[in-house]
Amino acid sequence: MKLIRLLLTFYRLYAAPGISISLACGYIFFSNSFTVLPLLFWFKILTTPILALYINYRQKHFYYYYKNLGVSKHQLWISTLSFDGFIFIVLLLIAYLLHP
Amino acid sequence: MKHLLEVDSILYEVDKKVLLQDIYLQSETGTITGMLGLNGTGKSSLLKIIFGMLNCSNKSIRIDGKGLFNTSRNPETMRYLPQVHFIPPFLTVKQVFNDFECSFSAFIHHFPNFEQHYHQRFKSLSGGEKRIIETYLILTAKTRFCLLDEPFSQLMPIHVETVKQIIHTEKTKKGILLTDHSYEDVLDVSDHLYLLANSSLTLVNSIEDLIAKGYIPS
Repeated sequence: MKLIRLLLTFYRLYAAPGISISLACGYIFFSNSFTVLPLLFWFKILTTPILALYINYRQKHFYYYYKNLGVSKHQLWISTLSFDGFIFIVLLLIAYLLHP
Repeated sequence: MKHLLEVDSILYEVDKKVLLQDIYLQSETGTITGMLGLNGTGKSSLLKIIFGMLNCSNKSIRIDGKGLFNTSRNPETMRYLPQVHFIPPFLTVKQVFNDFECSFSAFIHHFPNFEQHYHQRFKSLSGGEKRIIETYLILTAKTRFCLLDEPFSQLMPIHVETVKQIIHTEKTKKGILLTDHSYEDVLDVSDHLYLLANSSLTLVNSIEDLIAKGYIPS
């Protein structure tokens, strides 16, 4: 339970830009047809490492916090990127269901 | 139970310049090991290497004779206070104490002025207040060894004395390795003192040794 809470607090450092991009993709999918789907996937896939590198550079001091609590950098990033990917897929599914 | 941390065979280079070599350092439960050195001599790098935050060409780090071959560290074995503020600013003081499983009431006993900050987010504290909490957590959380990089920086003199008292109390349960530019405080708390110069460590016994080695003026 503590590990999940720690992983979620690290996700907060990434959440704002990550969710913004997913929301934008969801909106574009909602407003267009299935033809834009591959483009949106590629957009998300290309922006994710750029964001991750930026957060990694700007927030690197906080790795000490998590390492002092036994959470490695790999655990932090695997969970953050998995959670962000999950939110991206959920938002696309919602856009699909709401599509007129 | 006593534990022993040993560090040797370190070879660390930056831009093909050797920063650390021929290092032998040990810390054991019940002792405070101080480390002094000029800026850029590699004190912080050495602590980061021990904590597994920095990789180097060669190293041997052992606890009770068992080698630590990768960069992962169990917090119950070792914790590290870096020079920088390392607690995410959106966390509350309460959350941070819970994460480290430290008692806030014991903390208030040492620093009564902090009671009002319990529900505040870390970002609302001053640099000195953040430093006190960070130092306290690393020092008092359950572990075998504490690595402290500049624990006295940013602290008011009265708080420096309190931190020194806490260091003395905690050393009965753990080994403490610290470095700071406030050499008088380091001399005051340390049982063993090393000077890092010309990429290696030498044992120092008195303030006269520090003058002779050019660390402080005569």
